[in-house]
Amino acid sequence: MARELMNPCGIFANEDLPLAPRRRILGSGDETIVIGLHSNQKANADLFLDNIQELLSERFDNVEFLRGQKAASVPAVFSDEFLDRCHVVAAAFGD
Amino acid sequence: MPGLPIAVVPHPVAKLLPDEVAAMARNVIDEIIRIWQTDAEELRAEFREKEPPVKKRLRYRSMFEGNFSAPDAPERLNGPDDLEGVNRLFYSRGWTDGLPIIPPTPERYEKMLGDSGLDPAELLARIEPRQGQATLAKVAINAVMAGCLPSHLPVLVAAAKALGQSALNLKALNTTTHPCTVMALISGPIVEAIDVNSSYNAMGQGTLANAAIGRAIRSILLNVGGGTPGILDRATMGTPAKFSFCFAESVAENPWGETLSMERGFAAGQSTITLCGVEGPHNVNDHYGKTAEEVLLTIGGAMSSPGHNNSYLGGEMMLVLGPEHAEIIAGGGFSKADIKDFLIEQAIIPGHDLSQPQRVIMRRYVPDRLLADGDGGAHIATSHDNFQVVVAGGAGRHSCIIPSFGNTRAVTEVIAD
Repeated sequence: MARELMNPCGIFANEDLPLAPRRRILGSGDETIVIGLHSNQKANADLFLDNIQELLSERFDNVEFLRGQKAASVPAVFSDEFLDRCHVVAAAFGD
Repeated sequence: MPGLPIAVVPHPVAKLLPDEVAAMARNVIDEIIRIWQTDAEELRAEFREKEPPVKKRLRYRSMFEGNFSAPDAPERLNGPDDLEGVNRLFYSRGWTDGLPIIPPTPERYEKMLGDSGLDPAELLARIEPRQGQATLAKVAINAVMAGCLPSHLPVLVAAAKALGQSALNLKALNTTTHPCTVMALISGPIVEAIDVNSSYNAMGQGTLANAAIGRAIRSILLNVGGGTPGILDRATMGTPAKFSFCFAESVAENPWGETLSMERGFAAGQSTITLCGVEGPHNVNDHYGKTAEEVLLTIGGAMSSPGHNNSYLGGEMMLVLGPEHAEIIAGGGFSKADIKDFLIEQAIIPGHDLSQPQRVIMRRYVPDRLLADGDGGAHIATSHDNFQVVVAGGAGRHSCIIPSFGNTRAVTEVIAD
């Protein structure tokens, strides 16, 4: 036999958020692409991004890098420059 | 967010040497470039086709059957009519703490709500990490499951609101690898009204209100917030305190008269709940100290460890004084402020306990604590704000320190009559 039970789960925040549109931006054209590299400062996060920056610099001529950091285990606060200027961002989360 | 572009690297990362980090970067750079430039819809399609590795080793085998957290999720579900069957179902969905729950039937749910006249659809808070909507209804349902009485509901309403305060940093608490929980400290007239234990075994077993309220808070964090162990709750080893951690601070045994709730600005006649993101309690026993200084030296020594977040992130450490220790300390003329001053001065992590990586982190986050230009020991605190002092427990020469997650602050809500 079955009986009714109340659903204990909260309604989660809407998952259906659109991803930012992509376009081929690296290695084409003269536009300088600004790449944001954001670290949570856990062990090796900054070192990892240093390596990513170096690899991207080797591959592409038209790139500029902005580096950002946040304190461990607190929400990130992005600078206005980061938000306004970055075309793409890589955030590294070590632990 | 389906299709959120993530380039996965093998875990663990922290232990890697520089050459290994460089190799990891070389292995993933192509994927990073790809997902920056791949069409968004293509990324989402990839995500939907790929079965997450976690599904292959799920303990909660029915967790992904249906979506009970969707906006159109049903308010009710059909389940077995026997206790064991309901528990098998709820456990398989990841909706329990592993212990048997009380089936949340509509009848029990209505009884929990009582005739308060409150709107079950009222949104009390959004619970991280999934920002789940903690309506009065969901709080009541989880209260039933945890074994709460209707008289506990006002406490849980206040707890839900407190969970939504940003200063608590619940998203971190409910997802971290750190073995921390949300501790509930109850103060005011409601303590006696619903029999919340502040005496013997206040943090242990045996009192319905302590056990059930703490358990209901965990149930809310799980079912409303989405903090499922091994999924989004990534606690490395967890702690028994995650089952339930709720107690009352004592008024009768508090020689200073002022409770933590009153220190935080609430009147003696107000009932409050204070939530703190903390580890489990660490006992401190001192059976031989006869003066305030002697007892506080032992307590300070127990605090002076590099192995908890307060040592290098700051934040608030809770000190729960057993009544006998409180009596000795107050008898020595110490106020709560004097206790904090003493601990700031005397509680020092010895230099030989600090590794170089620990010193680097302390220089980054709490540079003013380091002694001898960073080459000596370190203060465990530098401000009164780094401590919260309460009195609880029964007879016995024991107190306890409760380190916090560090990047969290205690939050307090008034419990409605």
